[in-house]
This record gives sequence, structure tokens and C-alpha cells, in this order.
Amino acid sequence: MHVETLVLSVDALGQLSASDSQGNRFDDIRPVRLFPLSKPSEWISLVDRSGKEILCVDDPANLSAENQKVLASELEKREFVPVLKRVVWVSGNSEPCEWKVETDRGTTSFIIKDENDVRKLGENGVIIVDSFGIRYHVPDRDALDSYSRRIIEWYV
Amino acid sequence: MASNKTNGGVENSELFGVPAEVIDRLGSEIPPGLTVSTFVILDINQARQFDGILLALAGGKLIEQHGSEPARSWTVNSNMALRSSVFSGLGSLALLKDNQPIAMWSFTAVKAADVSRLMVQFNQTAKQKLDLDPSLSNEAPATVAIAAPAAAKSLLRLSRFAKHRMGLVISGVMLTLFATAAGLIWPYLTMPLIDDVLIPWQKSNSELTSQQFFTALMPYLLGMVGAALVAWGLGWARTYIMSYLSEQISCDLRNETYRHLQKMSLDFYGAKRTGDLISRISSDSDRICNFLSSHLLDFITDLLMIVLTSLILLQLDPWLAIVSLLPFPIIAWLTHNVRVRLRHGFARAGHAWEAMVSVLTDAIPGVRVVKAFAQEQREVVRFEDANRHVLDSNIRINKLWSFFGPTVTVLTEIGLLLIWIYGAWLVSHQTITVGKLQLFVLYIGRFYVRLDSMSRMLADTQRAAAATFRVFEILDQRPTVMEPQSPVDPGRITGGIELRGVRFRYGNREVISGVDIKVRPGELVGLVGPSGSGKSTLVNLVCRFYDVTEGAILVDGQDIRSFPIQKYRSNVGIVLQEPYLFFGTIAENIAYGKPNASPDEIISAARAAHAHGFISRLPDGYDSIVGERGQGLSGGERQRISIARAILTDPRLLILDEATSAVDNETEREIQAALDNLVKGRTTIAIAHRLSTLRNADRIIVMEHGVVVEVGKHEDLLAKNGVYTRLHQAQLAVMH
Repeated sequence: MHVETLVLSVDALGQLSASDSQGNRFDDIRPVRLFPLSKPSEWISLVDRSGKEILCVDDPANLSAENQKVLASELEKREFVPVLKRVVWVSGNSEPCEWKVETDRGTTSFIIKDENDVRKLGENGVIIVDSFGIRYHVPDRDALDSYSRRIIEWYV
Repeated sequence: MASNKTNGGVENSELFGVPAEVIDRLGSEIPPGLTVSTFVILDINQARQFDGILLALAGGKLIEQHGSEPARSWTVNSNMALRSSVFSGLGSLALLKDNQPIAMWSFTAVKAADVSRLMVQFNQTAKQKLDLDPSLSNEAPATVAIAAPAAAKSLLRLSRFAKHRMGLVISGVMLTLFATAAGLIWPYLTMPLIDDVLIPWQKSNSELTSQQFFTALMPYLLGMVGAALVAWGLGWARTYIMSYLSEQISCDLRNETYRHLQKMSLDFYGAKRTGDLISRISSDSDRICNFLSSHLLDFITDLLMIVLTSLILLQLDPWLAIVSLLPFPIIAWLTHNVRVRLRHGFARAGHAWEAMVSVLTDAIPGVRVVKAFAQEQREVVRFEDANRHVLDSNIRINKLWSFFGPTVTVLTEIGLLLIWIYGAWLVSHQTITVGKLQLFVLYIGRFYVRLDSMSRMLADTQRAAAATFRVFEILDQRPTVMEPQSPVDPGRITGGIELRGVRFRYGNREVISGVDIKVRPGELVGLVGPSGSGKSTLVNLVCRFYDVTEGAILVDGQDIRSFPIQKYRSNVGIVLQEPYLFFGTIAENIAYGKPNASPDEIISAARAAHAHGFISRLPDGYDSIVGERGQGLSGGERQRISIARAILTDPRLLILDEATSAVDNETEREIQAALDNLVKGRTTIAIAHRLSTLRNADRIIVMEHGVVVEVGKHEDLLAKNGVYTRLHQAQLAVMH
């Protein structure tokens, strides 16, 4: 399959399919970000149900506008990474500890198991992985209030 | 060198592994300014009687010292060489000149390692006299021998880190001086305050008005406030500068120690325990920093204070000063005695602490084994044992310490008492004023408080000296694999390897005894043999983790010892039985050998290593964090990441050290597919335990007891009905 002739489509059941001009067609595929943290918008792998890669898109900008839209919405559908806005309360500074936070998807609380679960991402970003593997993203920790910043900077 | 025999000198000379005895015996033979670089005490004489003959290489001379006989020495020249041989426990060593023996010695196998160390050093020294084309020579090319730094007291050695910060050091010392002097103004003002204001006022019985009293009082009070403020400001600046300086120094020290550790050859790590090395970089350097930032500062302040106070006291009233300083010599003597004992105590405590940390670093990574064999209790006991040694050695120090501290305190109080007695007598005879007595009491009080704190600092000083000693012990070690003196850039090698009469001795055990192998560029060579046959040692030699004892390894026709180590190794890729993943993302781990690799290159390498599939199934893909032992990944997955790492660096020379031994058959198939991609077009030496993994090998080399016994293809070797057949049948038997 080639990126140049790729056509992405979503059927009524919400399944993503890929086809090309040579008559290849793959149903029920899903996009996977290969570098979800460091390069989220590049290197998207399209894999079938068994996880086998059928195509790797190094830069979605090379796709047609229509394909880009489908890809973006499919990626968005499969992802849940709340953006952390404020840390309200932390149970203590030794792990495991409970955090109460405000995110762009509402207020929640989670448990951090290990100090390595709060990681630096780029210059100012932070990614937090809770005990269930859910990721919380802080795009710029300098934009947080001083309390939240202090809690997060204790880890990074 | 003679001064080395005193006190601290012996300890420092041990730094280079040279006991004081050796220096004593060599005496004036060693040219001044040079240290013994290598020596051996041969344990038997030419008549094969137990004896002690010292053979040392110093200042370009080979020196022999035997009992009371006059020392013999030979100036090392390029036409000279040392040659040794060991047969059933007895060794002989010959000094050759133009290939003719000019001196002979004997030794037992116990000394074989020492002798070979001396030989390497000697032959290098000889080689330095001659600049040979290393490619033509079958012997070791010249390597840079750095003269050992002159022995000096460990703490003073720290000064080299302060050298390029002289401005800070000077301003720190000046500030300390001024701050201390300012601190002495305040008590000085009490004398006129009492004698000229308070006592006249008391005597006058209100003849003076309060107004006059306060007018007389004010200048002194203001002066005291001013002096206190100045001392405060100076003290602030001084403390800041000195702690800034000490942090910088200890930061440099840590960096330098770690840089040096990374430079050390592999054999160094084999002999040292991880916990020990870690504690030297972390806690020892921290201890030094603490010492520099607070204790040393206090020490200087105290010393200045003591000197200044004694000067003032002597100038005010010499006799009173002498009486009040009477306990001082006793304290000084006591301090000196305690110091010597404390130093040993702290060294012992440091060792005990190291041993305890070593138990931790040993047991915690091996926790699975501990639990599997239900040996938790045993590990606890092991730790408790080590911890008890820490306790014991600290208690021993404290016994001494608990006596010393209060003794100094009591002596100080005696000093004060003496002033009161003698001072009161002087006042009663109108020799001195009350103000002067008060001044003496204030000053001498400070004097002894300082002396007391100085003596308390002793412990910290000794601790810091011990820590410095331990850090410099690492810095003084030199890598055994040395950079060539006239390096030849290997560039991108084509990959032809030739081993010419390679011998390697580990201690006094010969592991490789004469191996000659030629590998063509691009050839895949399998290396098999029973364990202990020298397979791993051989590839370690090819990687130049160690240097051959005799013979040479040539790559593209050049001795590998003539290449800069790093440039040579960048041509070599290695996949080990136990892959090591560093803490970081998978992408970072794959790109370890090529940190600036693009995502495209990383993904291609992962694809070739059959790792792309499982990586893309991980929630964070290539950004997934893997820990020090690659938690969360299976053995096969970790191995495929390490194969991707090797593919990315695109080495010309590939070493597979039992790369598929630690996994099951299914995983082995996956890894084998990855390996097939890796070996394409590269010269490969593959050590394999399972003979089945070598089905693609162009040649199989069979080793036993450090020599090559058979060479050929699988079928040919089976037909020979030799060692290979035996290994093959043993494996078949296990499978059935």
C-alpha cells in the first residue's frame, strides 16, 4: 500500500477502512501513534485487528485533506488524554499517593504508584500516568498555578 | 622520596599500590620526582630457594634489589625485552638485550600475574624508545604511559580543583579574615566601657548627671552595634562565597570521578563492587563538600580567631596571657594523639559502610533469586552482619570521642578558672583594672570555645580526609587498555580479522594459549566449545575490552592497539546474552549507539529487528519507558531491542555472545530472524551454546582449553568425530 493512493473511509458502524488504487482493501483497521508523547502528530501506523502494520504514515500532512480529517477524528476517538489544569489536592509526597485534579474533561482523582509515573515531556510539558495507565497531559507547567507547579516540579 | 616514609606519606604511596617496604628497599635508587610504576617481589632466587628479590621499573630503569647486596640496574632501551615462561608452577624471567639474555630470575606461579604486569610495562617503556610502524610489529604498539602523580596529602590534592577559582578563594579568605577581626572589636570595647564609664560612675555617687553618663556611654554602645553589624555582613558574604566554592569543587570532583570511571577498562569493574563505586561518587564527594563548605570555613575562622586573640592578650598583659594559655599545650598534645587514632577509626568505618552498601547492591538486583530460593532470612542476616560492623567501628570511634570531647571542655574550664584566680590577685594588687580582667575573660572564653569546636571538627576533618583518599584512589587508577601513542584512524573498516599467536593470561591462569584465526570480511564464524574454553575471552579481546598478553589482533591488517579505542569500537556491534536496557524510552534505547538517529532510522532498525510489531502495540509506542532491567518486556523483546540498537549503528564487525541462549525455542526463532537481518554483509563472530543456531555459519571454530581444536563446516566437523561431535551428541541426548 502507498501513502500517495491511500483512501481512508469510515463505514456506518464506525469501522475504519483503507484502500488504494491497486484494489487493496483493509477493513477494521486502526491508527496507532508510534511516538504518542514526543511526536504525536507524526509517524502514525495503520494496523489491522491483529496488530499487523499495513501502512506507516510518517507525516499525515502528505495525505489528502479528506484523509487527514478522517485520520485525525479516528485518532481522537481512540484516545483519552485529559489535559491537567490544576492540582487541587495531593495525599502526600510519597508514592502511592492520591491526586485530586481539574482537567479539561472535568474534575477527577487518581493514584500515582511510582515517582517515575510523572515524567517530563519536552522542555516544559509533563505526562502523568495513573495506576490504571490513564495519561494526563500538562502542556506547559509554567502556565499552572504555583501550588500545582510545586507538586509537579517535585517529581520532574 | 625519603619524606614518604613518615606518617601520611606511607598511606599516600599505597595509593599507587606500592608498599612502603618497596620504597624503603629502593631507597635512593629511584630518581627524585618519579614513583615506582611497577614492581614485583620475586619469591624465589635463582637457586630455587624461597627468597625476596625486588624487581622494579622506575624512571626508565629496571632495578633489582636482593637482600643486602648492592642494587643492580639496567637502563631500559629499545633493543631490550623481558620474556617469561611458566611451567608447572615455576616461572623464569629473562632480560634480553638484542635477543641475548643478560639477566635471569625465577619465581613461582603466585607471582606470575605481577611478573606479566611488569613485563607489559617494561616492553611498553622499551617500545617508547622506538617509534615503530605498529602494523609491521607483531608486538604491542606503544601506548601512552602517564607518570603517576607525586604523592601528597589527600586533602591538599583537592586544591587542584580550586586552582582555576583563585579569585573566589582569595576573596573568601580575605572576607574570613575581616569578619573574624570585626568579631573581636566588640569585646575590646567592653574594657574602656567598664574602666572609663561604669566604674567612675559607680564611684562618683551621682556627682555626674545621667545626661553626662549617657553621653559617655553612647559612643561605646554605638561602636559595639556597628562592629556587630559589620561582622554580620562580612560573615554573610564569607559563608556564601565559601559554600558556593565548595559546591563547585565537589561538583567537579564528581564529574571527574565519573568521567574517569567511564574511561576505566572492563577488568576494573570486574574487581570492584558496584556499591563501593557508587558510594565513592555519591556519599564521599558529598562528605567532602560538607567539609569544605562548613567545617573548613569554621576551621579557618577558629584558627584566625585563636591567633588574633592570643596576639591581643599578649599585647594587653603578657603574664596574664601566659597563665591563661597554660592548658593549651595539653589540649594540642591530646588532639594530636587522638587524631592519629581517629583517622584509622574512620577509615575502618568507611570500609564497613561500603561493605554494607555492597550487600544492598548485591541483594536487591538479585531479589528474584533470593525469593525463589527462600533466602530472605539469610540476606537479612548478611545485612545485619555488615551493619553490625558499621556499628562496631562507629562505637570504637565514639569510645575515644566521648572521652576526648569532655576532656577538652574541662581543660577549657580550668583555663578560665586560672584567669579568675590570677586576675583577681592582680586586681587586688591594682596591677590591672576590672575592665581588663573582664576583657581577658571574654577573650579567653572565645579562645577556648574556638579550640573546643576545632577539636570537635577533628572528626569531620578526618572523615573528609578519608573520603578524599577514597575518591582519589579511583582517580589514581589507570585504564589497563590504553590509548595508542601514535593513533591510526581505522575509518570504516572492511572487517577482515586476524588473530596472530594470541595468548591471554588472567591473573596467573592462561585462558587463551596461542590462537591463530583468520576471518574474511563478511564471513559468519561460529565459535563453540565447552564452557571455560575461552570463547568469551576471545571476543572480549577482539572488542579490545582487554589487551592480549602476547601476540596481536589485526583488523584490516592493522594491530587494533594502534586504533583510538572509541573509533575502533564504533565499528564493532555487540549483542549480549543478557541485553541491558537503560532507563528511558524505547526509541532512546534503540538510538543508544547513535543518539542523533532520526525516527525513520529508529523505526527501520526496529523493523529489521522484528521489534516494530510489539513496540507499536505498547500504549506509548516508541515513547514507552523501560527501566534498568527493562521491566514489562519479555526477554525476547528486550533482546530484539538490543538487536535493533546494533543494527542502527551499522557495525562492520559484529559479536553475538550467546544472543539466543537465554530464551525459549519460539522466541529464539523470532530472534534468529532478527539476527539474520543483522549479520547480512557484516563480519560476524557468533558464540553459540546451541549448535543449531549456527546453521548459517560459513565456518565453525571449536575451542577447548584456550586453543582452537577444530575448524570447518557443520558436516565436516561431524565427520571428524572429535570435540564437535561430542558436543553435538551431548545436545541431542539432552533433547531426547
